Amino acid sequence: MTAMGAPVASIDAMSSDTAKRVDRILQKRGTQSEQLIHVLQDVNDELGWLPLESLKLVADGLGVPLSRVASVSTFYKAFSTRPRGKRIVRVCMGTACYVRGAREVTEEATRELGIQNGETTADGEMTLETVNCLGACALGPVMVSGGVVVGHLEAGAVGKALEELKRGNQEGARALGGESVEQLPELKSPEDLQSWRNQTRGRASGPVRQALVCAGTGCRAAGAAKVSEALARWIEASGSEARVGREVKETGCHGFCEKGPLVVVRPEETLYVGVKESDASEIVERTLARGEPISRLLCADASSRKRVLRWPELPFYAEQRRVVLRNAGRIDPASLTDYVASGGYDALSRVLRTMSPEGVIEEIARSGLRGRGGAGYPTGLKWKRCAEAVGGNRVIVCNGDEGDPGAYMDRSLIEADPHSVLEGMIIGAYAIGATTGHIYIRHEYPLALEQMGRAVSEARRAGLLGRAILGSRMDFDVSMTRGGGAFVCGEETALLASIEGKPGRPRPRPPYPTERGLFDLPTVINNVETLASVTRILEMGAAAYAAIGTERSKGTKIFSLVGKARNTGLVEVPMGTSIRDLVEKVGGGVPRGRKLKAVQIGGPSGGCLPESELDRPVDYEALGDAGAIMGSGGIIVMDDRTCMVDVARYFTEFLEKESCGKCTPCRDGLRELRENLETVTLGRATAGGLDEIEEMARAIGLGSLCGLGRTAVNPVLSSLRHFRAEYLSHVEDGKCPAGVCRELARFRVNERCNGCGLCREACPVNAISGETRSPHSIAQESCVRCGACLDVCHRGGIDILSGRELEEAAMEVAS
Amino acid sequence: MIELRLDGKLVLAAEGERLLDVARRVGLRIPTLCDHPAVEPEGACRLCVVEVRDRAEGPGRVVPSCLERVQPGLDVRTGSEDVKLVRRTVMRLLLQRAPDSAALRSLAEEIGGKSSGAVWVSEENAGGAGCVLCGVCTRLCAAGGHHAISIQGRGAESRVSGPGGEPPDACTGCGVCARACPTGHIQLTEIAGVRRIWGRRFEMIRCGGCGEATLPRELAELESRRLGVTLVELTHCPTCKRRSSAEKFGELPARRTREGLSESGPMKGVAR
Amino acid sequence: MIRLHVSPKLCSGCRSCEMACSYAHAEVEARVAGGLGGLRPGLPRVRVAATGTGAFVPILCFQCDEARCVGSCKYGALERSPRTGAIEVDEGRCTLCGVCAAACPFGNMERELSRRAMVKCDLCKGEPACAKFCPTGALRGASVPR
Repeated sequence: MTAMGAPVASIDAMSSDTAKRVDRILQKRGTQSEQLIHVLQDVNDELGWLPLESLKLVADGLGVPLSRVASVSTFYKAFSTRPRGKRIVRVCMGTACYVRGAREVTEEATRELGIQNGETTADGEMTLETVNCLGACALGPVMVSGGVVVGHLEAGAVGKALEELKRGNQEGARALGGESVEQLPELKSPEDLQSWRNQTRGRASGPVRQALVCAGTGCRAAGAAKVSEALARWIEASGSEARVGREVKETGCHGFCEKGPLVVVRPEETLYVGVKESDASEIVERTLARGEPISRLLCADASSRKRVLRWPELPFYAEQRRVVLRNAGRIDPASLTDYVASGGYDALSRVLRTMSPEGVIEEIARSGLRGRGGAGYPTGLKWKRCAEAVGGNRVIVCNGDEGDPGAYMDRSLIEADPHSVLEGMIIGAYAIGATTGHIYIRHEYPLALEQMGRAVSEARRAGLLGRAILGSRMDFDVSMTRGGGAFVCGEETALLASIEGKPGRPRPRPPYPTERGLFDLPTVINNVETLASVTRILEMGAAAYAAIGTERSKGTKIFSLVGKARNTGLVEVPMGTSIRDLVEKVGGGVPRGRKLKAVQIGGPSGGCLPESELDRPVDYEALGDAGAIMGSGGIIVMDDRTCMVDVARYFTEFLEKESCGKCTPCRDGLRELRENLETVTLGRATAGGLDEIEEMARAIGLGSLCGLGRTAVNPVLSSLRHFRAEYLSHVEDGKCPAGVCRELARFRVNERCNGCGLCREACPVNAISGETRSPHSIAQESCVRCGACLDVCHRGGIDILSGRELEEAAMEVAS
Repeated sequence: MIELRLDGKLVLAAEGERLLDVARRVGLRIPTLCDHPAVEPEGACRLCVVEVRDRAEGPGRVVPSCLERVQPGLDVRTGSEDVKLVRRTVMRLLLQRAPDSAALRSLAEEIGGKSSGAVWVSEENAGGAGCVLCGVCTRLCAAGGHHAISIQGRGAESRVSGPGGEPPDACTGCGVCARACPTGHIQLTEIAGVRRIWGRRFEMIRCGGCGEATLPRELAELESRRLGVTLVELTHCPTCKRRSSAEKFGELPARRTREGLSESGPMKGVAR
Repeated sequence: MIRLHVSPKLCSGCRSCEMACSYAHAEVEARVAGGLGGLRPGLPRVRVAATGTGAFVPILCFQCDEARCVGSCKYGALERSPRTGAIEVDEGRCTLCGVCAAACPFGNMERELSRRAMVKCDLCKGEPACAKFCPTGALRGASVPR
């Protein structure tokens, strides 16, 4: 380092420093060209961005043309080709966050920091970015920086949240569990596994009472790590007698993210919600020591308002059927021992001992399992095709690139029970004859990456991956790929391109990956939930699994229920459950006395179903008939404060930005479609405009290359089909009935106002005036039409009008 | 041979033949932009779509004819309403990127896609004969082994350029991209023995005999190494090469057949 | 398979071959502005060159066995016709990069700008026009078994 006053390091010195750092990464990663994305991720992490100079070093090091490196580095969002600040503040713009006001949060953040989205503050401290979905949907709107998650944000609280992030509050960022120190035996036969299980079960029955702290992304954001530390501290501090048989365990996500941090005390199954660090001593002294419930920490039933003692009795859980999520919230995801003790890898052991590969495929076919990633292709058939394909080696890929905004079942499943996914993958590999596997998880899910990484290395240490698994003749190992931040990579051919180190642009099918996939080998690509279901099917038997569900859709499905519902979170229900039950029974209905208006199901490729269609069962065909799709399972509840035109515009804009740019209709058509929808939200569309939008959408759907473009228009077409009146109201009356489209919406206080002052408090621009207990009024010239007043008013004291209506009303008053 | 139905008529095609090639063979006009015989088809521009039905009934699929191969009994329609809708829409979108491209405008006239008047102008498209991201240039550049330019960024913001938008070091000035560009977006100039493209400047090597400009130095050097031919020989112009050929063969006795020539020495291993 | 026998000593330098070749490879041009359109003669693929001693030699492609031009093309645009044995240019694939012309040791490959492709002798697909019109027998075509 130079002394003070000496000139700053010269460019050459900086270059040689960069060269050294890139070189270290290349040495670690090796110089095979398919390492390209991994290397770029490491370099991006190391330098904070990717200067052209570093790309040249990588190109030389891997023997890849620089133009390809440049193409990859500009394709994925995870890479930055501009220098960035010390801290990167990301505001989630996922659907769940969006319908709860993420746009306002982002606007506030740009005001606070004085920079635009994507820019860095002058002092180089902070870079502001929006991201598609962080998978913390139940906490929306959400802002994160360096692993710290701030949830349930309102525009007014953004300043404080930024301060907090700037101070570098790293509470939530503590690595879970750290490096694994578990003692693991080397399993050489099914008997080894069984005897280990018996051993661990004996140990597991030890504790008298256990406090299970949910350490999923949602609960961690709410401070679960502090709670678990405090509980451990208090147990340690309690008397030596009281300490025996009391323990704290961190588990994965329970699904009830809305109410975190969650603590469950076993064996009573007492559920505490919203637990704070300061509650720890009381939990240890009363509940852990004596089994006494603490009333104020219990959860109240959303409808009856009664406090519920045991979690299985809460409607949120009682209405579910947790088959795939069986272990979620009950075992420590970081512990292979825990998984084995709960019966894990028994299915694999039985498969290897007693079943032929064909037998496994047949069993899966009999179970009726269909791909949970969205399209619902029969899993057994996919495996059969791959097993029968010409070619020596085969590959199995786990698709954990869960890109749908507002959906996070894969993240949660991996975080809570990674081994069940891995076990399903090993079984799949056995069935199709694969010796290598790849697990692809998106980079926005650091915790899922960590948990799966640990699960893989533990399984390898215990001999569940590698050569001669459990003494059988099966050799199989997996490697992991961190996604680069491109929604289109969820598409299977784009995903394969991405693993091969190329930009994630889809290629035409056929040939299907089952014939020619990763590096041209026959490849099966299964979604995370599908693979976890495989494990369960082999545990419970195909017949028992097929007994759940409907005629053509078998088993259970996990949904992430988010948006305007009382209980948001992750839920698993049998196929065939009606959407209404999902929203009203499990989800507890729409809060704040508002009206349920629509449900958006299936993510950006899905559709909006109006309230009248909600008695449909969740079933691949039944949803398809209504213009929606099962998709990966995101359900976004919308109330009368959600504008369907705006939602259609939102999804179109999302996909416009995620389009890979290869084919014309998707690349340029979605842009034009979004612009046309914008003219509607701005009240500038003409009467013929809606037909143009519909025709445009149809052309994009027909003409696009891959599933992204072909289904991208579903939100537009389905909302036009079910909510045409709302579109027309924008076009003909210049009115946004939901009061969302700011150019159109005008707010006025009506006679129901009792002068409570809530709206006056909530207004960010002080446009509302009035004495307490006398009617208030809104100064139209300063009103920014954010609708904050409308959201806080309990009495329906604020009308949504069009500009013309407001003028007419004003004239009436004047005359 | 495979029998299929094309706009109602039965036609025969070879196994593995593309629908595009079959249609053109029987004289149907199918517009394309991103198809180039020298590189693999990509199905990117979507102008060449046709509607196919696997069975007489059942729903049609709109597919790019540059990728779809013939199948027995396939029913292909090159002018269905859906096909027209897609082509018209695609054409309008492409015209926004390159409103002044003559090639595009004449295609548009054929298809009936009118310009919407809107112009999607990014900085580098300012000339009006903009880039339509067909990718012919980048694929040819890779096929030529240069890998100088690539598509960077994604979505509507994608653009073709050298790495990082800089003049590409790997470019040899071969000019293949510019000559293949369907809209004339890629600018190549050659004045007084200097070729300029992609922000780079290439000196043309002149023929040792007459001084005519032949190949850009970078390209000639690369090819000289690849083919094992000296730079001097490589950069002799055809006219001067013919002159020296004449000197060689003019002295040979009459009625030389090619067999004879190959024995006589100068062209051993080359001529037969 | 077609073979062209070249006898430079018989060549009188009349260049009928060039003319014949030009017309054999003419393109029918659509109506040009104001005119009627018509034939546009092509670049002759055979050239009569003079030696320093004043002798004439018709120069045209030898259709070499190990043809350097074929190996030099990176776009697969040069292929030998199994029927005539001539190396032919696939005009669709040709990118006009000019490397084949540089690679040909004899100068028998040239760029024809109006065609947007490189051109060379294709033995007129089996009936060489040059031989037909050569008055002295300096160029003679013959069909030979493979």
